[in-house]
Amino acid sequence: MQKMIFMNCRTGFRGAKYRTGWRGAVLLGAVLLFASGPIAASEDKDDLIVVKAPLIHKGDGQVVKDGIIVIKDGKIRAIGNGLPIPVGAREIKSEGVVTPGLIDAASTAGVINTYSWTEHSSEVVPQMRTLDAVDRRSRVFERLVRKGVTTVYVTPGSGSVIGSRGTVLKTAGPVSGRILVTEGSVKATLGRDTQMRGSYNRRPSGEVTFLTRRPTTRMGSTWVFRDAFYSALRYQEARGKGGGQASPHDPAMETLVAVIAGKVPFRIQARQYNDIWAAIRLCNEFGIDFVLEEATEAYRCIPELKERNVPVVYGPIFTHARGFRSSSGEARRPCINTAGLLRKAGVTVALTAGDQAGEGALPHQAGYAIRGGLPFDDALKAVTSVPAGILGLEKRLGLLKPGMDADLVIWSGTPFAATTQAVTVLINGEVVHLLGFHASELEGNKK
Amino acid sequence: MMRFARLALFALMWAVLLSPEPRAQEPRTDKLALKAARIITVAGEDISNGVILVENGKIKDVGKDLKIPYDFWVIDAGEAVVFPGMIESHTARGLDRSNESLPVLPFLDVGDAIDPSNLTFEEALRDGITTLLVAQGNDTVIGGMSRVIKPIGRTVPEMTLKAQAGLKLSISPKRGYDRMTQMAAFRETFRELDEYLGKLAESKYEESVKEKDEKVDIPPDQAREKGMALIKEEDLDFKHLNLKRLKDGRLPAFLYCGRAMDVALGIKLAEEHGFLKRSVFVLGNECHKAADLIKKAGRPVILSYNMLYTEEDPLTGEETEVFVPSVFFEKGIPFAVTTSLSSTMGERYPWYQAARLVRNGIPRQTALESITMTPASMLGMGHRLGAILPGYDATFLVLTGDILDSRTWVDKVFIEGELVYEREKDHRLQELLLGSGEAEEEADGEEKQEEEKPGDGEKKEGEQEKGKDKAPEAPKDKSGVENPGK
Repeated sequence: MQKMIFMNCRTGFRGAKYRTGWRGAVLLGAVLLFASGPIAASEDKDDLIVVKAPLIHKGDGQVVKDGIIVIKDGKIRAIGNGLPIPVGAREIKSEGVVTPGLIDAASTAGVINTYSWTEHSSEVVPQMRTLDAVDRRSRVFERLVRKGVTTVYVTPGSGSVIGSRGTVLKTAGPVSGRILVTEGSVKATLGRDTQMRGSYNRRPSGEVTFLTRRPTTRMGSTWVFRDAFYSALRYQEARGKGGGQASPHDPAMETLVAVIAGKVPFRIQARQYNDIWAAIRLCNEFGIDFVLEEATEAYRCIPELKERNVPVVYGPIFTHARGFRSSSGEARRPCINTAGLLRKAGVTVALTAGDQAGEGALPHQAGYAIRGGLPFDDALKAVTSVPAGILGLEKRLGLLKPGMDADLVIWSGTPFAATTQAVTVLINGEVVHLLGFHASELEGNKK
Repeated sequence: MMRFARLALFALMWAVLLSPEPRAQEPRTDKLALKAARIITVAGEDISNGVILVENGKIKDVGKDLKIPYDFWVIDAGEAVVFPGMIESHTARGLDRSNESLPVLPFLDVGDAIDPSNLTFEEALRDGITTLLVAQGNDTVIGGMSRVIKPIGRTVPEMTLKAQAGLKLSISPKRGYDRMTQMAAFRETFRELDEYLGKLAESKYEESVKEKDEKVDIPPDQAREKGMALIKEEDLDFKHLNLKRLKDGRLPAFLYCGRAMDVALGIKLAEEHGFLKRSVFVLGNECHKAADLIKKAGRPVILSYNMLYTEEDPLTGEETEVFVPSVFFEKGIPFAVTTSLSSTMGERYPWYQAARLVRNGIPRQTALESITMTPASMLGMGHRLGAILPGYDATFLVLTGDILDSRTWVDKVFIEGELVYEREKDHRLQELLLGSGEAEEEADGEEKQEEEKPGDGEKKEGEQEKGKDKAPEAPKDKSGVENPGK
């Protein structure tokens, strides 16, 4: 009897029981590589735009004074001062400061209000796509654009130990053309989020019993994590030996095999220092490189993060945790200079607003990081080029230089200052936000 | 020789350490001269390289080329900026619970529920808030008495600036009520007050007549009228006393209106019962739609912390945003902005809220007034607080930069001439900025306790002291050195 309970617990943790039902239906998991969606080029092929501003931050620490940016077909063609203004170009003059469009590498845009992006049928769901849960017409995207955020990585829900795969989207433009990455990194979660159960976090039918429920401790979460990856290794071995007959195709396992092989990027959400250590330990065990997300107590693990060369997507910044962070009990030791300390130690750090909107949005996060002690240039990089690099999009996004996507923000003053707001936002060379205009009035949003 | 020198040094050190506390450095707060690169007076032009002279907790003089008397303690704040202490005009900070379950409670006093040791007051100082109006929450009909306090003091009386700062009324329905019940509760309260006062007046008049051994020869309504003047404050219980003072216009009222529809109801109620002239409207975001009514009533408003009214058109689904303070600014209605402790960062700080006003096109001067002079006058403290002017309380902040710059920290806080906050001694702030100190030490402590199982009390005290000694030197980056896990 005892043995049986143990077995049930085990399957319950792995969720194999419920995953079987999915196997036939989910065929998507086999796609292992990034699939870049098409970005619809602007309709006027010879649409030339010139942005003029007294100060342009390129995003790599360099500035151009009294410069212009020449944009054609949604891409930056030239940037500098003293450049000739092409004939027939549409000019956007501004008295403000220009930066690259902001990139949030762990946003919950388009999913947070739907509560349907944490899959509860199993603890191990890397074959699933967050993209399928994103409401791409959500008003949240409009709000993000108004704050100067032009690209988001929609991070998978943190309810599963091995969660789904994130997606990278632009925040405006033709809805069909916003997808940059369909299947991004697999996100794992260590800590209380995987152990907490809300009313929506139940089995589809029947009682929640101790036989069927999720891990309840850090031991349980860690066990699910290791079990999943060891299963993947065994699966790989079996497939290698006997082909399909020895072991039927399993999209979840395929994805994890690709993670181990380094073909699919991996990230781990951990808040407390012990979970961050567990993340490092587990990834060392399987030889996986990973990106650390949220990382509230990253300031307590700086040597380890530096030694392991773990990039950190840190945020949101707070002095007092609220909402689910507060109830997780994992956010009791905040430090508002974490980004500054990480940067000083040479750790790659990007900032994220996570689920925070309004005054917690990404530009304000950068402002808080600066208040905490992060130098301005690093703060700018932490919301532009660094997240672009973490998302593997450094060739397209995050910098203002020829060949890059024309995603840029014109600020009313010093970027990230409390007195500053985004005046104009361009995505793919189209004006998608202009202060004083409703989003629906702008051409860039009509397509 | 070296050894002797070292011994001598040691002896000297001990001598210094054991000598009575060095009084020489103790601030003499009765007479103080503060020099700073910039003084933002709010009431007028900024003063560069100015001096503030403080005597007996009041500002004696402020200006550019003031002669500093010989007996003043001089603080040269160097490049710092001086700004009046910021005022939180409506908050439930420091209350153990912000709402009572009963509906009509004008006899309550928030002073009974303020916890002076609540950390929120320490935070207030850190954020540059020197004055707070503590009021009951919005879940009420007629709530208790509000109080204006300073965030310092061991007891509530010590903290108090103004004990009878006004009654809290909520026009928006209390939990479990609808608007009709809410307004009926108001009507019933004031009707009962009239009845009570009438009866009391009648009996007062009868008493006075009987004292003169005469007979009551006038009808009751006339007797009531005559007796009304005979009612003394001590004849009334607290409920009727406070309500009567409200009706007589001797108490301010803070009327909470959550929805635009509440504003008209609130104005009517206040007009009917004679306290409109003493009313301050505490508004939810939707109330910007009723700004014209408030303008006509000529009353000031306290605005909600999030300032942004978002509305989705039910037919088109289009979302529109209104920056609420702009509406009141454009109509010329005086407004104060508030902070929220339920927010994680920016909205907790009054300076940030003022910066948001500037961000949205409101002039800097108005923005600064909305966290200083405007709330001061709303709280009836306009003659003492909110500006740096001669005769005002010496309640001001020494800042590391401009008040609206998010890189600025509050370096020192003076309240009534007393130095009550110094950033370099703020251990919790060091902790927040460096993420070292306590976190690491506590982890060490835990480990030690596991290994050595020491006796509880002594060890802990010793460790705390160690922490105290260390903290002021904390600005070294320890994070690279320590590693509790290994």
